[in-house]
Amino acid sequence: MNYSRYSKAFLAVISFVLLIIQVYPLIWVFISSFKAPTDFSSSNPLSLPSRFTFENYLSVWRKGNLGTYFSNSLIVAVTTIALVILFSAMAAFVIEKMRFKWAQSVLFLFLCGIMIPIQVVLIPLFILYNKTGIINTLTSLILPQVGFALPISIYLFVSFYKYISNEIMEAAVMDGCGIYQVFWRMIFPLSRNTIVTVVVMNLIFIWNEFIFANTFIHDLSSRTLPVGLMDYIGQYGLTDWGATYAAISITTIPTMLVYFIFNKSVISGMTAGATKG
Amino acid sequence: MKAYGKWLILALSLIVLTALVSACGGGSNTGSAAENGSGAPANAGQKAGKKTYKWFVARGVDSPPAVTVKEIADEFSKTHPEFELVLEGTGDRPSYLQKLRTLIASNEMPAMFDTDPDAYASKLVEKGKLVDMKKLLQDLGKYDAFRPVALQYQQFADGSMYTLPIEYGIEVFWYNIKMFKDLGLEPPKTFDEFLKVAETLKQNGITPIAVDGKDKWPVLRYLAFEPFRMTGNDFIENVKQGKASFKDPAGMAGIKLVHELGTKGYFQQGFSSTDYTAARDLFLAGKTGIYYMGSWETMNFANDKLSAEIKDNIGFFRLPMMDGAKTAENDYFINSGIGVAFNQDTFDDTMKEFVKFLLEKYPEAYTKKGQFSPFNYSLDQAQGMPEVFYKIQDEIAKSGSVFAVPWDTRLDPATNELLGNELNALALGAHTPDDFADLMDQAIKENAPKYFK
Repeated sequence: MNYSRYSKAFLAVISFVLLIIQVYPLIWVFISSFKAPTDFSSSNPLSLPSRFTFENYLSVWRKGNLGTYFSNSLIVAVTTIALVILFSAMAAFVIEKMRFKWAQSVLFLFLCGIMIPIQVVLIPLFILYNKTGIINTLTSLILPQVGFALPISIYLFVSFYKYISNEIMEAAVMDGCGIYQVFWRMIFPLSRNTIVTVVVMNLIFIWNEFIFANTFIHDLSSRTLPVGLMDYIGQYGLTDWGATYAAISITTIPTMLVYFIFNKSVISGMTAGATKG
Repeated sequence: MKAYGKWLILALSLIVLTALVSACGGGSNTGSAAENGSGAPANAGQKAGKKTYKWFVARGVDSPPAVTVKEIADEFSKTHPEFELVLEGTGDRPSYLQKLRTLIASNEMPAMFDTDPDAYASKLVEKGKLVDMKKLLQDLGKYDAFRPVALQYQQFADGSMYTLPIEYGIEVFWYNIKMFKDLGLEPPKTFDEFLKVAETLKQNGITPIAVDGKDKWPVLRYLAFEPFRMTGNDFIENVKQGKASFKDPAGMAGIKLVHELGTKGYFQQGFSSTDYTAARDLFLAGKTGIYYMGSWETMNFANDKLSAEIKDNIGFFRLPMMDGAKTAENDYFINSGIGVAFNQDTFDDTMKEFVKFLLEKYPEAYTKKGQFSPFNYSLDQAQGMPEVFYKIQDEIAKSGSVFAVPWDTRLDPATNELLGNELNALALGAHTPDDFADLMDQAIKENAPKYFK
């Protein structure tokens, strides 16, 4: 990488501009969440708050449901992700390393799931969940999301396992590992980066999932954040922006944290196969 | 390896299955305990003789109508312990409709839900799923307790009615009294005067009109003003099926008004991305002179959050007139909001009792919240409401019997979508009035025959 000083400076400027374009909206929402109600009506939307106030956050907590929504979202996200990782890592292992007759067809069958739009399954699922009585519970949000996340996750794991040489597994078997020990002691720890990639990729979708949550949940007590944010939309489109921005800030912080913590692994998980550790 | 293949697949699938089953058990421990076995949200629950009815609300559960009905329902439960009304809803219309249609398609129609008298509702009526509201109100002897326009607004084209109005609003131009006085302006009586007023405000460095361009319907009103004055509702009723053209005098008048207001800069800068709250706040911050909106906003023009110079400084004028107008001065946009439909299957004696009780209590309870009800009911001066409330109340009493219908409730969905998107482009000067008229005629020609079969 021998750039001249000028092109380095040029690159830095370009990256900085891109960074501003990407990050500024988030910053703006965050700053706006500290504005007093009068700031929204009387001053330029791009201006800073006249005084920093926590009123909006207080009114959000006073509304009282955000905590419930938050914990519901958390339960749904964590459970869904855990199941997705477990199922897709195992399925991919079988498809890629066990070499049974129908391996490719099974993979193809899973990948067909990518083509199914959510809206198509909405009514059948509603009827099914209603009959089995899990409608209006968090289970009705976890199940379909696990299903929809599987294809792409399995695909990621399969393409990663291609890079793991069979010799390692043979060596392990020689040392007396069974299939499960091979999987849990070797393959699973090796796929750390892929796991992180799958987690982060799916987390965004699951955290922001709206259609299932809007359709299957009737009670406040089982609502998740995206549906909960609609509490701030009144009749005729009347919106309490201060409180909305505060709620949005609270909602987006977890996903951003996950990104900040894992971003290195995500990039290597996406690009490289067998980067070990 | 190979020899183990089958056995392994079996073992693994077993593990997966057990994991699944335990996950089902584990994931749902936060579900509401009140869920009954059938999971039916709309029907009576199985708790010792309790009947739980659900109202799926399209206006947010904190909105005045919803809160009022809920209060009355709770009062009703005191004397009828078996009755319980549960509210669920959102103010976001697209997601409301998506859920409502899913519920109905899955045979889970709520006991009460909100709907306009649109094509979807008429399909439900054809299937006998909704309670005949006209008949019910006549049975209860309450048909005459309503303002006639409120009921007319809820009717289908054939005069039948399946939804109960619980709101009432007239639409007027609110204006900043002090601003007008300072510039020696009078509230305009005709469209010519209206444009003169806008020009004067503009000359003096004030944005004349605040409008919510993001939600489409407020700009659409401006398109409908002159056609309504010239033809009543005939133009829209004809043009929607291609029996009239946007090239007709009425259509062109409407198009030209929007084009002029937009291109001359009478709407605020960036109006097409201004939302409802922002547009209203512009006006309330004294940044614009005029703001067109319904009477449901009345109490927001008289609360303590306003700055001193705005408070008590807001007046209103009616939709301007024009030469040869077919509609009277007191005819303008009036509506009774999205109505409440009742599910025929869950409409039992208890529900009927409740509706009766609701109709008794609702007018007073709702009006005391500073709202205007669809009933012939008004508050006297002794109630200590703000002055602007009484002024609007008088105006409502004087309003005519011919009301303008919102175009977006009449056009077919595809044309409606196009019109909503292109109207802002017209106001921004991206279309000439003639091109716009052609564009709309073309859209109607393509979409209307399929829709109005």
